[in-house]
Amino acid sequence: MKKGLIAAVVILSITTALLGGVLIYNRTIKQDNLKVESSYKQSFLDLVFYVDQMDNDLSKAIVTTDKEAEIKYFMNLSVVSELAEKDLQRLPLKDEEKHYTTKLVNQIGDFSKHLAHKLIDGESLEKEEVDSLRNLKNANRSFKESLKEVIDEGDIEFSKLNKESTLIKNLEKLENVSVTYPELIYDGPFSDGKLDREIKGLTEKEISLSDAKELAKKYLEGYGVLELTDEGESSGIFECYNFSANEKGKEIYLSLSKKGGKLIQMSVFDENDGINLDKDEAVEKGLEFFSKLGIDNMKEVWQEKVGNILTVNYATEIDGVICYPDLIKVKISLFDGSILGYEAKTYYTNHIERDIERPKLTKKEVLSKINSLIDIYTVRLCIIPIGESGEVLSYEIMGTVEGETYYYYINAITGKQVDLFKVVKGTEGELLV
Amino acid sequence: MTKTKRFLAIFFIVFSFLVLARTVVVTPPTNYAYAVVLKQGSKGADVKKMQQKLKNWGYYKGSVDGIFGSKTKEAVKYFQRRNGLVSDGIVGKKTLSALGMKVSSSGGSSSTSSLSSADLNLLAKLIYAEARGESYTGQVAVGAVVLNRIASSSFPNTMSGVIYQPYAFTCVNDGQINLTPNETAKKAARDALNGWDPSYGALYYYNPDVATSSWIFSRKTTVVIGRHVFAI
Repeated sequence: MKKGLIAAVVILSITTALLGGVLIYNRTIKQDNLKVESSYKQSFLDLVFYVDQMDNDLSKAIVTTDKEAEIKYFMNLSVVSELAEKDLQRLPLKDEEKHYTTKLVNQIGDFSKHLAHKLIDGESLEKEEVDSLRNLKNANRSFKESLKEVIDEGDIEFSKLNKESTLIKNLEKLENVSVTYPELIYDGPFSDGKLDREIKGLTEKEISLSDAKELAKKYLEGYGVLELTDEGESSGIFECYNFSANEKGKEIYLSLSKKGGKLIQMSVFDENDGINLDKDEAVEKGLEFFSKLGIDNMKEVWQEKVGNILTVNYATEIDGVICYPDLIKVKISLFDGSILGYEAKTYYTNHIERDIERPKLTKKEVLSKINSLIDIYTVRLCIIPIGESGEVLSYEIMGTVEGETYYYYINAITGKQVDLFKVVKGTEGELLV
Repeated sequence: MTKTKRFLAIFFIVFSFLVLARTVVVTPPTNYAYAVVLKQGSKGADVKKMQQKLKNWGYYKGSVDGIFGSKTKEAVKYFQRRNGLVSDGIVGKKTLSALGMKVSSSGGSSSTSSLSSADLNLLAKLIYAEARGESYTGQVAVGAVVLNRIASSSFPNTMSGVIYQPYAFTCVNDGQINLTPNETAKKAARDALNGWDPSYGALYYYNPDVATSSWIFSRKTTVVIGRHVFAI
């Protein structure tokens, strides 16, 4: 009798406990879901607001004839589109559902910034640019309207989004419209022209796979590599043959261009520890490697040491002028001086035989134009890349202001500031910003 | 009297069950923050690095083999004595920093990291979570895809934006992104940040054996490295 009572009590208490546990668990889950749901809602409503604002600013920028007002609208567009993009990315959407709209929002911002800079530089907009703006406005208008439809429908639950939801349907409609807006070609990072840029430095004939393999072996002299494994071809901007090898604990992977069999990139992975070379010796090893590849006139322009690896940037130097577009990055082991990495895509994208023009301004004239507080260390002539494919002859002035190092670039013809970099010391070495 | 006792007992049992149920069922995963401690019996790259340093400075005469043995312990004690540390032969945070070694745990330490090293760490974590079984080049290529996405108009414009984009990387959803990356992944991340791109501008990669989205197959392949197909 008594035993039965105790058993009953124990069973009852266990059931109660479990039930209670489940209830508490469910409530916590519900609360968490609510929090996530609210943050999705906030992002969505913010997105709607920003897209609306972009619509207004695009319209006004097209209509106004006042240059300063136009600059204001463009700067505003570049900020607001960034915010819209952030909110769009926070929504629980798959890549294929927001590929087009992300691109649209990003390009509106980037193109606006480009136009604002143009106006600030005293230029005016061309007819094609205004046409592009109009196209962007129309595309953004469709985006805005499809978002509005979602809002008009009432509350949406983001945790229950599926193929049948208006939001997804509308976004997919936008993804699949054949008439979106034409390609946008301008001098900015999000320009559509970036993907089919010409590779200036690769002009020789295509070589065969077996010839490429022979060349690869030659490049790898000193690594003790006997056998190379075929890793297929890569397509895209650079058409290459890829090879790999495993030798003496080193894992090697390298790519040679089909055109002319140039070494485009290489990475060697090893786990050696310790330092036996100093930086100057390592820089020399890099130059030796260039002569093996048949590349001359390279000069060290930047280096960074992490662990026992020195990464050195080399650029072509012609008559004392540094050509920064012709940049090759080389990773050199401070353990044994071997080359652990090589990256020459930038070099081959830009490298041409250059006729370097004479500067119009003298050193003295240029120095009179920069901040007088700067303590100057070096001044030299260089060619620096502008935008995605332009180049300009500049004076590079390196110096410090209040203990911080700066690199000034002044156009050697017009005397205008082309760029200004600040050196930031990070935990991983120095950075240019 | 006995009735109240029994009542109390039942109450206590129910209460403790409730507490237990709550802690067992709803404890959120905690961060794996721990300080690196090396001691006799430890093995690995950190031990190797430490031995190399001790050897370079003349504290250690044994071989640099990555195994924390008794000789290594003696060397550590010697080093600690000479550097005003508690001479216990155990390498904790203080000894590590005296050795000039970074504490490689993910949390806990209050080092002031610059923006760039935050990016580096995040990228290394992604590489480790997504591609630790791949060759070194395959790992750099995965890192390069993240950087290509930042540069592309169709993706977010920051490292964290690209990595934490919903549905972009499975390792973010299953929590593997929070694993501590190894040295190889860190090297690969550094190379990718430095502009190495074995993926040739790819914006996507997938494993054709397990990929489920038919959409991904429609993208143009740039290169195949290991088990991953890279595509634009």
